[in-house]
Amino acid sequence: MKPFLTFARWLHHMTLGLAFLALLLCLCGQAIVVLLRYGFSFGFPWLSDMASWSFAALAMLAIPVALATDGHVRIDIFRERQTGRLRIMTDYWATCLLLVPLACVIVATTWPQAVAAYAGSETSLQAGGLPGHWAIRLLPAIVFILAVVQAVARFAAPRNDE
Amino acid sequence: MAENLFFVLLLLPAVLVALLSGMNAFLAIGGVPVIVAMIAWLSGSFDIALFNAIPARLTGIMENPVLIAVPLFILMGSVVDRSGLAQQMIGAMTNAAAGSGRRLSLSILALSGILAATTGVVGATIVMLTAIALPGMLAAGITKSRAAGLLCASGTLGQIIPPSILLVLLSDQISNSWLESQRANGQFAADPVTASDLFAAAFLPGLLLILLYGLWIAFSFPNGTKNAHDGPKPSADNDGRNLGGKFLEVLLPPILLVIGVLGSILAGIATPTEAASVGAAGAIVLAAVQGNQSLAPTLYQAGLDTIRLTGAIFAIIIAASVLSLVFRGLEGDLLVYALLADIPGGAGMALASLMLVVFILGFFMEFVEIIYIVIPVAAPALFAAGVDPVWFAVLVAMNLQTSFLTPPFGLALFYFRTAAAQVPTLEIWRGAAPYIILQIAGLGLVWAFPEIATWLPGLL
Repeated sequence: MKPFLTFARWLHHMTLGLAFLALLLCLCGQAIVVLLRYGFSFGFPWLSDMASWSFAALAMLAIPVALATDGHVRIDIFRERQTGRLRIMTDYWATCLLLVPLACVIVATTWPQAVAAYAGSETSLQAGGLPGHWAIRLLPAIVFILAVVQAVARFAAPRNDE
Repeated sequence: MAENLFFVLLLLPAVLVALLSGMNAFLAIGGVPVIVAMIAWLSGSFDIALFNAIPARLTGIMENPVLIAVPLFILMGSVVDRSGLAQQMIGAMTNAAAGSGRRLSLSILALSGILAATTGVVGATIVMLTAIALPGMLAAGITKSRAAGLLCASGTLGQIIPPSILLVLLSDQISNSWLESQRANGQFAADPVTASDLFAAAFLPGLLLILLYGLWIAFSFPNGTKNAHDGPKPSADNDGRNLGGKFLEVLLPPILLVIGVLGSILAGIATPTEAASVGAAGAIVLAAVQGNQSLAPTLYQAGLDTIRLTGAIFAIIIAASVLSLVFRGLEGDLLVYALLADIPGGAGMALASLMLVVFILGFFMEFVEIIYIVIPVAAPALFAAGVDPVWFAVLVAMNLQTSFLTPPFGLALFYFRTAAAQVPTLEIWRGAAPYIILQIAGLGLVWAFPEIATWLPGLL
């Protein structure tokens, strides 16, 4: 179990780092777009693409980060009265019965389309935009695999945060 | 059809039970429909090929230019909160109005209005307001329940006063439903409903609520100073002229930031996304210049808050789009159409029933879940019956804002409880009651006079 937990931890830090980078690029990209548009009445299509694609990366990468840090919304009317053991059981069954099938459906449907986009070298819809649009289409599949890893690590790891 | 009906009727209670189990809500909302769809597929009632629509829906979420505003507004609020700026603002206000209970309460209300436009995150605002303002309020002779009610209600204003994340998400769903209902009527060139429209529409209703709260305070709160000795003593650097200078120095920059962000959206100069990026960048500059925390840890904490909250919101948005896909695949939308059409009294009664459903769901669900589950299912039918989308959106937003205050599960009440352990739960509920009535009164006024919501967007 230990090597897996170490691996999951490492993945979490990677994901968090990339999410921070995406947040930074999204904020700076969008702010510079605004500055250029209102200050100098011009803009670069690739810059708008950068803001928009880094937002996509942020929104997606944030999902496994929230899972690893227990940041997702829960309805805790009953949960707050449950024992730690019952809470872990709930998370265990939710992961096996719900997260894994959901991740399978998302991977199975988005993967072929991402591959097709890569084969067709799909680029941005705007002229002068960024290449590599397939990477955005691949994100949900990657992120849901990461989410499964983090969910498993959550109930496999000794918990000291509850 | 009979079998479809069975699965639709299975789907919603199954999601509800899974939600109440306390698991991550997005798993209940997105995972349960997948399982139900699989079972329905095995029995021949669901076309599994519909799942192929998921990638397009995901791309639609990831590349939606309006949703970029969501993490940026969260970041703006988080920076104001984590840098100590919000704390300074509340501190300056409390010092300036110390002594008179009524004046202090009114100034806390005014400050909440400003904070509402910067942070818009209910939990952070209430915890902060409570920690800083509650001792002063109690010292000025305001009862615990009155203070609790005011702080909880003020903290929810961020949901209705633009720019608010609730309104951004609502506009996303309202505009989809609106265009869909117009296409169904053969209108292919209908005007879209934008986030800017909703910001403009919610502005006056937000002020109306502040006005109602203010009248309540003015007429029901005592004005006496209980015993000045118990009050927070003005600290040495806050005497006389210095106080006025510090007051402006602390409050003016955030107010200017809010006016810039909100004004540029309402004036139609900037889109909410553009304004959000300027707002977030401006908040970081303010934090660097005026914050009382060192900048690097502040930015790290604010960034982490933003990422976690963004993950929580987008997980639910994605899950809800899976739910609505399955719901439609099972023809549940036709069922809702039929139900809404069968309600006697036409569109008005259908709208009233929907508002009641949202109000009840608000007792135990978060606004993101309600917006993404209820609006796509119910709104097209209402729009087809002639309900104005902007007016409808404001009614829903006020309704959702009220749900933060309703016991036993109103989130604002929980947040207050975590920040003020010394106030018993029953006192908090008693204090919140008048504001729930004021909210319903405000909702009634917007219902009776739709112009309160539709006048400003029409003007701009």
